[in-house]
Amino acid sequence: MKNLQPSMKDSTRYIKFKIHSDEEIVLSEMVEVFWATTSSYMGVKELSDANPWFIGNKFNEKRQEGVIRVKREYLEDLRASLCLINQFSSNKCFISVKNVSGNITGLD
Amino acid sequence: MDYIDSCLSNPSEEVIRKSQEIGWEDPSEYSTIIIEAEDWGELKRKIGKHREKNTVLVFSGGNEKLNRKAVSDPRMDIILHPGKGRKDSGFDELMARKASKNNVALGLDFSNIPDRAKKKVHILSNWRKNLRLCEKHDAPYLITTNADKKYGLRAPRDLEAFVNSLGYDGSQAISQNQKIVEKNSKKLKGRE
Repeated sequence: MKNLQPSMKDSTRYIKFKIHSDEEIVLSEMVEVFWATTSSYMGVKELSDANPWFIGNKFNEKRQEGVIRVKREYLEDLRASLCLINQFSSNKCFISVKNVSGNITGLD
Repeated sequence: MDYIDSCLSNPSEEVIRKSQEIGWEDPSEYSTIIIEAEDWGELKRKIGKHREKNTVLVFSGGNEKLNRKAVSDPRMDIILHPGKGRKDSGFDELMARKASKNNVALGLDFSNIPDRAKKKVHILSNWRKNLRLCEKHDAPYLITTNADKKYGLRAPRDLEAFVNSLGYDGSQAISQNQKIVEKNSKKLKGRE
């Protein structure tokens, strides 16, 4: 398939987040809760435009940190929906955004 | 900018440590009192009693008459969740005008957002109505976590993003906390 022209590509932002919880949260659990919360807050229609994506290999289970990619225009909406996450199964938790960058290498 | 959560009253050691970790200033540097009252007499008495000793005076809203009295008193700093336990937003045009005149800030209480979607929709809809009135009458507003446990905390920049996502000025909602604490700290120092 032919690549898109650079001017046609979406401008994206990479969000580095940290999970604050007493128990260790695994990636699959995080992904499940994330999709449930964001689709409830932003709705499927907006989410399809925001096109958020978990960067799986950037998730650090020990430090409980991960990276999400999202379209630039929806950065604030996505941060707001991360704010609303307060529970993983039976574990109370909250998520804080540590860093936002236009480039994935800029997060380190 | 220093991020201050002005509505944290008597936070535990754990909450103080966690809040500093995510970017808030030390809440033990200022004192906040949240006032609850049944009638105007009790409210007036409590305002008089606590004003001299505390940096931030917050009224826990919910009663329409007392909400109106609270925004009419310039000694009050914040009216928190005026629509708590009510079906309406608990904040009207007249209150917004008085809040603007007396510089009483409308507090958006993040801990008041429930888990159930239907209730969440109603609360956020009331927040939007109140914020629209505040913008129209130039009344101050702020957002607070009002956390009593560490899991109730949120990072300051995330709360700002939350207000931004509702279509209002998140930076004002965060910086208003600092303005109130700075203004009252100067007054309290002047009295000593």
